[in-house]
Amino acid sequence: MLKLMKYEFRKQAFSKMVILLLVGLIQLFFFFGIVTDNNNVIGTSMGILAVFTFGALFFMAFEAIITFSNDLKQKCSYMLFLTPHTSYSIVGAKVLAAAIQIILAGIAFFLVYFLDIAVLVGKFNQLELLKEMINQFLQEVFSLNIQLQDIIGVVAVIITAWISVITVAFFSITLSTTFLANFKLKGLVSFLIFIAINYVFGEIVNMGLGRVYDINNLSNLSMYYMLESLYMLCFTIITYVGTSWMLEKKVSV
Amino acid sequence: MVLQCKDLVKKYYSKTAVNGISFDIDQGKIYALLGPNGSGKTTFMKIAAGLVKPTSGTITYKGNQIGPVTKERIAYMSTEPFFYNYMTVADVGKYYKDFFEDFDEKRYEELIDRMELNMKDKSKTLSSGLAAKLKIAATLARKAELYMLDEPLNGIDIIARDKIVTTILEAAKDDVTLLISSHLVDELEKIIDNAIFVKNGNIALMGEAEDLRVKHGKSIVELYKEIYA
Repeated sequence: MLKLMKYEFRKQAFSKMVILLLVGLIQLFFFFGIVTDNNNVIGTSMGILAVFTFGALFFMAFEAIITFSNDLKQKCSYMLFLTPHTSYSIVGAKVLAAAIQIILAGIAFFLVYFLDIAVLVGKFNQLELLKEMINQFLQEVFSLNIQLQDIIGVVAVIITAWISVITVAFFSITLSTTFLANFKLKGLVSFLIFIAINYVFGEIVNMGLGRVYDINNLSNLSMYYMLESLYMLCFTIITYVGTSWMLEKKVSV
Repeated sequence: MVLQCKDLVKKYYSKTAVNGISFDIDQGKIYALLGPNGSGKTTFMKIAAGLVKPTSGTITYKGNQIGPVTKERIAYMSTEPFFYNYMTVADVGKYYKDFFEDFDEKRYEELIDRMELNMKDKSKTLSSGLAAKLKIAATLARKAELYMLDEPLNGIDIIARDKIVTTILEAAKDDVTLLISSHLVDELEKIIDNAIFVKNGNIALMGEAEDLRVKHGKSIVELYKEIYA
């Protein structure tokens, strides 16, 4: 499976290099603002970085889905399905590769933000003020007392939810190329199935966690996030098994 | 026998590509799978390679269902180019080495040299002839038990065809079986042991090449013209 993962990374390596290059350029812009003491440049670069972070993470998930689709629908699919591996290994490698890329990208962006904030704090020498401002903002706007474990919980939910969306997409695409292969509107049907499954999964989380927690009055945020992550993990496993099973039974590339 | 199929059917939409065919393939022989485009040759090979699941019927290789175990022993070459766009000729070799234990790196280098390919060339920039040669080199560099070559002479110019046929024949051994599909029947006539004529997803005629010639008083080329004219 490691070899399959290696080639999954390789297939998507070009876009990662482009993302890295663009982050580098944004950072150059940021440091140019720091050196020239230009607050407009600093602010603009931070704004671009924020938008770019969101765009890059979204693109990475999208690319994982497109790569999966190509591996089922284009001739290069032979390369993958001629290898002596089960569909469970092939899909598993894709899910793990997507998860690792998203986690690594998350860590990389976190480090970039950490670096930029550290530079800003160093420059303006207002660490305590900044920290106080953020805390005050969160308390006033959300009436929350944010703890480190809560932040970790949010990150875990974002990552698992993101991976779950990817595996639901894998499941829907596979459905269109296997059991729905003989339907003319299979693309549209599989997209509707993608939307429907995500909606159903969302409702399951709301119903499941809603019984245990009062969403409007959460006293134990981290436990809530941990349970939500577990739900997402279960959805990922269900769609992964479903995707692999369909490919095992009905693959036609 | 190595490959056995029984009542094999594959349907796409309302079209039946393979229509209940049954036959066995024996070890150590060279088979020609003959028929015009759309007759079901490629679909059959894809089923045997594990790329397509049959709608009904069974197919086994040495008693094993088609799957990871059979993919380790069967080398399939499709008629279309199928390498990833980012790959160079060298990358294709590395990929095969990573996934197939029977892949012989030295043999690959030798075949690449013989096919006048360059290890640094990108697979997507190759001409159709060179891309066809790359597929052949990668497939025949495996020491497989069964080679299935779908239209190996497609895109190959008339001068290079002999070289390709010679290379294919080098793989033929007592314990190695070759199944070659082609509509260029005259190129195969002199090298095959058995012929399987496929028409509209059915077996129109099959048997040992020499028996067929004697029985019908015609060459394989003439039989081909008679069946498909």
